[in-house]
Amino acid sequence: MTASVETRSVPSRDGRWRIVAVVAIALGVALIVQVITSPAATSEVTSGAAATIPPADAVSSAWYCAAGSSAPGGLGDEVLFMTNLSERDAMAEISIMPGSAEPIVVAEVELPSRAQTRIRVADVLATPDPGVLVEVFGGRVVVEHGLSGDGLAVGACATRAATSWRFGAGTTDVDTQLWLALFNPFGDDAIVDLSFLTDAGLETPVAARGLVVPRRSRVMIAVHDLVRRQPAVATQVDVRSGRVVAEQVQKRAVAPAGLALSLGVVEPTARAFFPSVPFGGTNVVSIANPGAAPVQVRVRTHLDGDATLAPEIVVVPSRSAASVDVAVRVPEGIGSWVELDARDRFVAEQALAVDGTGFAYVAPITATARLWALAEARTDAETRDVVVVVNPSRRTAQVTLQVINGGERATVETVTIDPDQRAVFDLGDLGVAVGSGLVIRSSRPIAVARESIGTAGFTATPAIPASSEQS
Amino acid sequence: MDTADPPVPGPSVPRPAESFDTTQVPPPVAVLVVAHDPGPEFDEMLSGLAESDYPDLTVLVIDAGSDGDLKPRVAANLPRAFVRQVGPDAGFATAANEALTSVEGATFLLLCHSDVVFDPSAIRLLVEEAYRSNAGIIGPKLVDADQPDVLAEVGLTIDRFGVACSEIEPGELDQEQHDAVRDVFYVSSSAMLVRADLFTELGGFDAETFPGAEDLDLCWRARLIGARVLVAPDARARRHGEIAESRTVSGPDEALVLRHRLRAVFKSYSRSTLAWVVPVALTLGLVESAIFVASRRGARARALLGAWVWNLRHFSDLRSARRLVQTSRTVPDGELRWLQRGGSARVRNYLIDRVQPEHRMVSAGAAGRVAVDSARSRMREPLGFIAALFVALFVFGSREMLIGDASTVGSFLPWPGVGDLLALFGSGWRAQGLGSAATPPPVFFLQAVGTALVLGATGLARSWFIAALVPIGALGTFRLARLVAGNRRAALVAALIYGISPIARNAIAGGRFGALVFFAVAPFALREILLLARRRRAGENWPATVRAWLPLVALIAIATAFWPPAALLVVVMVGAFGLAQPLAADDFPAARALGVAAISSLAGLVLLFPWPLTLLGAGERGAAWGLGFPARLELGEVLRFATGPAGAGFGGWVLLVAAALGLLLTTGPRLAWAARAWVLALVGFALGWLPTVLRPNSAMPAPEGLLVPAALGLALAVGLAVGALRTDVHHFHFGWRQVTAAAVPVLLILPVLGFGVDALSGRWDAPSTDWNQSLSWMTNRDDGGFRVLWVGDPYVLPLDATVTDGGTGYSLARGGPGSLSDLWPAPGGSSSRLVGDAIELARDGRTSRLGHILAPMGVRYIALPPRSGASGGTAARPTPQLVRGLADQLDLSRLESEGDLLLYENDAWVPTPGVIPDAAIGRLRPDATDPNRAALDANLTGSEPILGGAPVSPGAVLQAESYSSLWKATTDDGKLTHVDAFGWANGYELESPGPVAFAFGGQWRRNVVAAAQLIVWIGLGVFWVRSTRLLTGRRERRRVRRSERVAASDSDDAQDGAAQEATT
Repeated sequence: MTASVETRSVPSRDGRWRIVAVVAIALGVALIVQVITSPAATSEVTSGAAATIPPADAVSSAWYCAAGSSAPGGLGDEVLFMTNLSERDAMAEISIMPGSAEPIVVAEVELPSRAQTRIRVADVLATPDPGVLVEVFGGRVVVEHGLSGDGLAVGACATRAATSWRFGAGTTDVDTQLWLALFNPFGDDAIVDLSFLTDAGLETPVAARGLVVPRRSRVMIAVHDLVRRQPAVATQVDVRSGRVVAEQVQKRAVAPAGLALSLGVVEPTARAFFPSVPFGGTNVVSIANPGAAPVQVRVRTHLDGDATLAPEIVVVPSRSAASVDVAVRVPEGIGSWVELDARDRFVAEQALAVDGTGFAYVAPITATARLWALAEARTDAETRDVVVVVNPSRRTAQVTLQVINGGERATVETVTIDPDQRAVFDLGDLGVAVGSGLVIRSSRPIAVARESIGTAGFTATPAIPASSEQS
Repeated sequence: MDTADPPVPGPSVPRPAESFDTTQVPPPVAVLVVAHDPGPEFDEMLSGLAESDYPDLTVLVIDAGSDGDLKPRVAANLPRAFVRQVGPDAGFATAANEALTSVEGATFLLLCHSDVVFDPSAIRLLVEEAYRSNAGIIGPKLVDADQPDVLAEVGLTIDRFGVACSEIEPGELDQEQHDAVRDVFYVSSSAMLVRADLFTELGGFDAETFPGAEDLDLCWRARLIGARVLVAPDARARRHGEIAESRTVSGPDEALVLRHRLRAVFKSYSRSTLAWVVPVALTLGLVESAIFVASRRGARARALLGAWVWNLRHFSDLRSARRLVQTSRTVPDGELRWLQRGGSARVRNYLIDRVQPEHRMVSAGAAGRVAVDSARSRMREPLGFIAALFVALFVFGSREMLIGDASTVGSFLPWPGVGDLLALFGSGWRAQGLGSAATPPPVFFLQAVGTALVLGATGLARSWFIAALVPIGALGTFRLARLVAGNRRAALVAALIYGISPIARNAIAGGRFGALVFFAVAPFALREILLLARRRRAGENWPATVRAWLPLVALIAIATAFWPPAALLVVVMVGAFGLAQPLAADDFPAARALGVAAISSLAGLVLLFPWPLTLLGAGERGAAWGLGFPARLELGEVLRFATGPAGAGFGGWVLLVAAALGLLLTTGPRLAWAARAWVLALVGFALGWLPTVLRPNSAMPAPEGLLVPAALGLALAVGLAVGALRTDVHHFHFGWRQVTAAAVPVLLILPVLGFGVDALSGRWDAPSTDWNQSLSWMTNRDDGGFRVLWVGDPYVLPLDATVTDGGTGYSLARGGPGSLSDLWPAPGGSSSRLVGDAIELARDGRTSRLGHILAPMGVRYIALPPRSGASGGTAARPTPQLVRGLADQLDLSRLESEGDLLLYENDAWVPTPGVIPDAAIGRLRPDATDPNRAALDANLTGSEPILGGAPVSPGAVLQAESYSSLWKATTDDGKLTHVDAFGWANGYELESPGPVAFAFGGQWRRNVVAAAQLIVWIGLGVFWVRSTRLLTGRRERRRVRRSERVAASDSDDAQDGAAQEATT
């Protein structure tokens, strides 16, 4: 049939251009709207942080504490610090996974509102290789663990497992031991490949291939036996199947002796912050480049006050590691903090040493946040504990330090931090008691770390950020 | 010659003609004319014989019981002819067999009916050819006596089952196209020259094969003893009466014809041939009978089956006759096959009848020739070539679907059998998701009908249905464009552009069944709306009105059944025409069209009642309405229809440019329609894009369906542009328009090329291995009922996804990776949000025990696909947060799987139905206000499955179906206490061990509703068929009256002309 819908009148010549104009305007407006509305706003943003504060409305959260020991002669006696930040009581199930065929021991612990709870793992189960899983129900809780014995090391437990872990620093020099704790809290076995970036390039020992981390167990890997006598070792953990949590313990028998604990990052980053720079020690930033092309990293050392230092450019060859001694350029008596950035991705870690006290390996802060927390404010009354807050943003940040203790949340200090500046909170001076947790809030995204210096040793660690959505 | 009656005096037999070799003695030919109450043509026939140029001709007329005396009539024409009378019950065969006893000395016998008039040279030519070709039997070319230029018969053949076939078509003109002498299987007994000795050796005709197969039987037997059967078309005879009367199988003697042919088959085939011919013929006969019965032609069915019964009853006689034939056989069946036609002639004729019901008298050959001629002539046009290229490319691009099977992707799930589909349609409880008492969608019934039409070949039905939708859509666009553009060229281009639209390919690649159905239906629906909007028939009775609206309503109902947004989108499309009205500025009845669209959409929904009512209760569950995709398409993707693997190239932009030319090149009514087409396109683009701007990641319908108006609008605009090349462009002075016009065909090359490239994959980029294949092992688990939770990018998820507030998609499958019963999300009441909320908890890091939360739902496996299939297919948009969230769950164990599928097994899984032994009912947290929290806190360890009638331990019984008081569980001791487990599921308290049975109490209600639905649909179907017949009859009568008027007018004109001439 060829019948057509008949029309009596038709658009005029002017009508044609009216039609064309309507169509053109419609498409033009749509184009402008499309340009204005950023597609990035709808995409997911995740940080490489391995530990984050759980959302306030979380029904349950899990913390994985990989390193540590609860048996005599182990690699540091492990203590859990759990601080309930929320207004309601919570409950935690602490599962100690001894590995092999031994049964998992579970302890239920009440976590009162706005209070810190401290549990020595050995009190639950004494075992040489405990993988510790803390499952929290009903509250917003942050968990850290500390190792003590041949030194002092405190750090956040991980809130996530991953299929890849990266460490920026480590050493297998004489009189040092580098241990890698691989924790698999899940119901399926994990198979792991290890590789190591050194200043001589990539090393992939045969013994480090296809390592099995059995389900619900922890495995300690002696990296110093796999990569011998290397001053800089950046460990890479790639999981073939399953997922694990990786933590690194550096043990040193000669000065600066002690223990260092660091949680890896799950992916390389293009930016990193290191707020901790203690006075009177060494400050070396190790940079590993897992990529196939050299990476050019800009190392910026921000000084307190108006003084500035020119950025230092470090070129790290592909699949290699390099170190930068940041402290040598900092004038004596002036506080500083370090920021790294590059176009390509890299893995960085900070090695700090305080003469006569100890040393620490500090994982990088890869993303800023407005909310930070620490489960353990002070290790003991004898230590000097400070919280360092840096403001890498372009605007002034209003920062508040709150102490969680005894069912209360008290604001102890509020400061204003200019862009690229830092603030140091001496917890002892502020009267923060041992057994407290800390919450740091800010009007702008900031980075926060904690240092503890005492007779037991020296430790430094990033605080635990809230995820970007919560910030 | 022994004659009973004295010779009738008359004119002497004519002398040999000049062409006959008079130096030789011509072989005597005895003509046997069998007559029974012959008409006037008998005299013509006799006079024809009298005029024959054959020199030695003796005529014997066998009077088979005529009421009147034939002798005077014979004597008047052939005084020397003989007349012999036989009984009135003697048929042609018996009468002709009189030759065996009555004729002596003749070399040839010319056996013929009384209505055949031979040309003067015919007999001579037959005899000459018989000698030349050493023929045993030879027949002339028969033409219609009334229309001598129309062929009636030029030899005959049969198929393998004895059904007669002719090389010529009804009404075929004699243009000497069949004039070569050739071997045929048999010639008609209307006129056949038989060597007398052969006729004697064969024992004449088998009287039991008359009517209908006496000639076939004779010639077949002649063939079997090595005699040739020929047709000599130079010898011509005119036949009165119906063409091929004896071979017609629909006449009153149909039963006789069928049984006699079957007898010939039984007699003539060897045993080995019969071994396969009989079962196949019987099967075909049964199928044909079933079809006849279904189409209320019981008499034909009886005739068909009666033929077999009759031959069985005459088995002893048949066996004797067969023995005679087979003992004299010298030629194997294989040597005669080349004279037969392959396959089944009846099936072929049936198909021709179905395909072209209005031309049932035209056989496939004629139709084919017409089609080929038509196609050939159209192929000479470039556009015809393009259309043929499109069809060829589409078939090529769909080859793996057509030959193999369509990929199980998205909603392209395997169809179960007809019974299962009807069971799904009639079920009172919907198993989809977490279960619901909602009415099942009518689409199950439609699929059952489709599957039944292909005799239960579900894979074939699914694949071909999917593949056919695109060409159907193109066809609809062709018809729509012809309506609005009134130009075949424009319509063809519009159809082409619509057919190659990337949205159709993306719909196939992504498995968007509903969107694809809407793609096919939308152009037809729009066309019907336009026609109805123009329809003004005052005083029309209601049946005519209903009949006029019914196609549109049915189209919308079908599209809505497959894809609920269709009902609304049809209205939106017509609304776009209304929006364009100020620009078009013509008298298009926009408001009326909108009214038609609204009413028909509403009527379509009514036709689907009560299913649409259940959708009203969907609440927040937009998936029930087809809202299963997060809004995230950017403007560029929408404008290029890049909703999947197709359309990402430059061709999409080119199409926009070509469509823009529709606005610039057209004039007059075509410009008005170009404006409407563009507004339609803009509305379509807005539908696909605005949700992204206004509410990113919110759930919206399949973008391929939303963009159908845009694709249709652009196709119409491009078609109008092409249509304008021959018409409107000439109205302008030479300038840029002429130059631009030349670019239009060039512009279309790119999209066509893109279409061609996509065709290479053979399945339009759908995965070659789907998840159903790689996860088929799941269906073999027999340790309790379970569900599979598909989660991830909704654009690649199997089944119909539900979108969470965060844009994550999920779908639930029962007992395996997915089946048809898991499609078409049902309103799920309070349980509808539970799964989504649980996924959001894991995605946001707010739980580390997703497995526990999902355990009461029976979720055993959680799968996150990286693409739409295990090998190939559309890649998923990365969902790192979800991947991480799942990886962090302590109660999920990762399983190895094909194709990078993230597959977890839930360590905390509870089989459904299952029992927690020795647990109090309180363990199931009755009346919990926060179901997910309750599940997290519940201790369901040690649960056991409830399988069949196996006894189970006492404890708390959990049935993971949405709570309904109509569910009940019973044991030998009676009904169990029923509670609202976890605030959404069914829980029961089992106090003593024993088997537990579950039953849903709402089935009877569904039965009543389903029966009512079927009654309405069948009623409408019957109304449609009857009204169609009525209408066809009226049309035919009108056509006849018109013809008569024209003929009368012509006659009057002729008379007037003659009178005028005489006057002059």
